[in-house]
Amino acid sequence: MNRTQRQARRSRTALPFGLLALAALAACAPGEVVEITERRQVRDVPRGLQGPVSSAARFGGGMGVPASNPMPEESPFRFVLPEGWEELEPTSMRLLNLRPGGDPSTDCALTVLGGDGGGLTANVNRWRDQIGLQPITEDEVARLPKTVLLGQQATIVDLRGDYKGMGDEAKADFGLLGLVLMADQFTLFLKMTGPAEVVQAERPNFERFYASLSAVFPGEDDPHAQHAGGGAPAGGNGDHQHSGPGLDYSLPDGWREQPPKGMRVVNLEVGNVQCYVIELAGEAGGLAMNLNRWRNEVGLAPLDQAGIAQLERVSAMGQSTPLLEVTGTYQGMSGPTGGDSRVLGVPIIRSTNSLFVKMVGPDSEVLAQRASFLDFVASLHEH
Amino acid sequence: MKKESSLGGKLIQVFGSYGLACLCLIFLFVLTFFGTLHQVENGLYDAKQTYFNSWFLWTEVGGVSVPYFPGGVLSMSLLTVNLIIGGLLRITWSTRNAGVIIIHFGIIFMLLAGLVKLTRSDEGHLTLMEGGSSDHFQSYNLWEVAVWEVTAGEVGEELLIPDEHITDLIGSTRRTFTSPDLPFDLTLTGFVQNCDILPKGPQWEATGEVIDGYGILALPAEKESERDLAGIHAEVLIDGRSERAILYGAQRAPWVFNASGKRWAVDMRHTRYPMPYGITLKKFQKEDHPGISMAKSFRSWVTRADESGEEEILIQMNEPLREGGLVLFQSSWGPEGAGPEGPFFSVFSVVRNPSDKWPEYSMWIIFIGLVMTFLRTLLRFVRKQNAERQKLAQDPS
Repeated sequence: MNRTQRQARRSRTALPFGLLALAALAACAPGEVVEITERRQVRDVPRGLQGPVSSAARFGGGMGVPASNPMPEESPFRFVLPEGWEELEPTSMRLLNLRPGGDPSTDCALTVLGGDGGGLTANVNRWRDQIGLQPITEDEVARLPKTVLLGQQATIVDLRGDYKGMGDEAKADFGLLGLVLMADQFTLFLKMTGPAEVVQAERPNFERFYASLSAVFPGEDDPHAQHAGGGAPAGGNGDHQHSGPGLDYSLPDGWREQPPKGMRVVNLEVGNVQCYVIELAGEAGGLAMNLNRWRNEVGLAPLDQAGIAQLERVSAMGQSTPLLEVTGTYQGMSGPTGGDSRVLGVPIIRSTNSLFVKMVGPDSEVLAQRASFLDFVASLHEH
Repeated sequence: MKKESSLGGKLIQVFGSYGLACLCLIFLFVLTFFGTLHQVENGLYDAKQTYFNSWFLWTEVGGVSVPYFPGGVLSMSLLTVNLIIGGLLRITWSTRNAGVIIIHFGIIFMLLAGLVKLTRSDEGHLTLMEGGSSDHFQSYNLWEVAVWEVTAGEVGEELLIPDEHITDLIGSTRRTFTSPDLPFDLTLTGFVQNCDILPKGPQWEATGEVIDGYGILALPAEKESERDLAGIHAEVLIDGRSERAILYGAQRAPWVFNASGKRWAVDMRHTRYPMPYGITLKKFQKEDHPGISMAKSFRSWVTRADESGEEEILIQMNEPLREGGLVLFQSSWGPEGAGPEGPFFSVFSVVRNPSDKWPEYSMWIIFIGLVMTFLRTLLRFVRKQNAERQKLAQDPS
C-alpha cells in the first residue's frame, strides 16, 4: 500500500467517526417521565424542618417579621374544636386546616397574607369571583357585617353559588362563609366552604369556633401556659448549668427561669426585665434584617452595613457577632411596652438555625443587668 | 490534484478543503462580532449560550423555531473535522511538512480543549463568611431540584434533578420524576427563568397556577444571569391526594410534606458541586487604596481539610488554589461598605475543568511547530543565499 492509498484509507475511516461524533453531540431531549438517577451524600442536612412550612414563611410577606421565617412546629393558635369537626395537618399556607362536620367536601382554613394582602375589597371580591358572583364596590364592602376575631374587628363574608377554588372545577350550590381580619402587619382569612346546606348547618359551630380562637404570637404571654407550664420559677445562683431545648447556659444571680413559651426556647426574668432566646430555622432573614428589626422596635432608623460594622462585638456560640444596644419607646411584639426602655440583642446567625438573644426592660434595670446579660450570652452553648 | 469520484471521496474532499476551513473561520468571525454586540445588551452568559455554546442560531418564523446560522459548536466541530482530514490525513507526511502537521495537531488539541470544557467542566462560586465552611460550590447559572427525607441525622442523601431536566419545562410542558426510593412521583412544570413570588393580588397576573394565595410574577431576565431567580410549579401525588407548591430559587425554606409516614423536603437552588475536600475561611483581609474605600488587594486564609488532614493555605489574586482537579480563585468579597475589621465574606470562583491546562499545552505544541517551520524556511533561505554567494564567487561576472 503506497502513501496515497494509506492517506485515503485514513481519511475514509475518520470521516464516519467525525459525523458520528457530531450526531452524538446533538443529544435528544429527556422524555416526559424521567427516573432520578443523580444522588449525593450530603453533610449539614438542613434541620429545623419539623413540619410543613407556610408559603408566607417560604416566600416572605407573612405575619410581620416572624412569618419571614419557617413557622414553629407548635401552632400558635388555641381553640375549641366544635363537635364533629376534624383537625387536619396544616398544608403549606393553611395555619389551621379543619374539616367541619366530618364532611370531606367541606373545609375550613385559617390563612394569612403579609400586609393588607391586596386590600379588603379585593379579597372580598376574590371570594365572590370564586363563587361566581359579580364584584361589589368598596362602599358595599364597608357595609358588610362585622364580628370579633382574635380581639379585632373582622368582616363577615357569606356567599352562595357555584364554587370554583384555585385550579378546581366549579362545584354547584356551594356556600362560602368567611372572615377577613385586616391587621396592621398582616391579613387573616378564616374561610369555610362546602355544599350550601352543610355550610349553613355548620354556621353555629363556625361561630363558636372563631369565638374560641386565640393566638400566642412569638414572645406573647400564653394564657394556657400556666396550665401547661412546668414548675415554679427558680432562682438562679450562677453556679449551675441550666438547660433549654438544645441549649446549656449559666443562670446569672437573681435571674429566674420561666417556662418556654411561643418561640422562646429559653425564657428568663429578672425584676421587670425579660431575657429570652428565640430559635428560628436557617438564617432567618440574616444579620442586618434582624438587627434593624430590633432597632425598629424602639423607633430607630435601620443601620447600613457600615453602621453594623461599627457595633460592639461579642462572642456567642463560637462566633463573633454584633451586640445591639438601643434605647427608646419599646413597641415590640414581646416584652414590656413603654418609654425609657433599653433593648440588648445578640443575633447568632447560622445556616442551619439561628438564635436571637434579647433582653428588654426599663432602661435603668437593663443597664444594671448588662454585665450579667453578656455573661449569659457567653455561657450559651449547645448540648 | 486528483479528483475523487466516489461519494466518500467527494465528502472527504469537501470536509478537508481549504474552502471549508475559510468558511468556518468566517463563521467564527461573524459569531464573535455579533456575539460581542449581543453581550452589550444581554450579558456575557446569554451571549456565550446563544452564539458559542450552540449548534445553531435560531429565530422564530411563523411561530416555528428555525436555524439561520451555524453556532459556535457546529463551526468549531466542522473546523476540527476539516483540520483532521486536511491537516493530518490528506497532507503528505514527510519531514518537510513536520512543522505544519504539528501546528495542525496543536490547533486540533486546542479545539478539543474547548469541547471538553463545554461538556465536562463545572464553574461556580464558593462564598464563605469568616469562620464558615463548605464542601461544595454552587453554579452561577444552573439550577437543580433536590429531594430528601427529613431525618434527625446530620448526614443524608439527596436525589437531584439537573438543570437540563428543569429549564425546558416552560409554559405547560410537564415532566414527571420518579425514583424507587421515593413514595411519590414529582411533577414539575411552568419553569420561569427570573421571577418573584408574591401574594396574588388583583393588580398583576400570575404565571401558572396560584397556590396557597401565592403566584409567580415573571420578570425579564437579568443582564447578569447569575442574578436571575428561577421559579417552577411542583406537584406530588400521595395516596391519590395531590399536593402542590411553588419552588423558588430564593425561597427561605424548602417545601416540606408528609408521605408514607415520612417527612420529605424539596428545594430549588443553584446547582451544587461537591468538592473532594472542605474549605474553611479563617480570615479575610483587604487593603484599600489610600484615602478611598476601593480595595487595592484582598486575600483569604483558608484551611483545606480532607481525610488525610488539614493544611493552611493563602488564596489571593493571581495565586489560586489548585487541588483535587479544582481551581479556586479569589474573586470577590463583601459586604459592600464593610468596615476595616469586617465582618467579611469572601467569594472564590471555582472551576473544575479537566482540560484546564490543555490550551497551554496546545500553545507549546503550536510554538514548536512554528519554530520548526520557521527554522526550516530559514535554513532553506540560508542555503540558497550561500549557494548564490558561492556562485557569485566562482563567476563574478
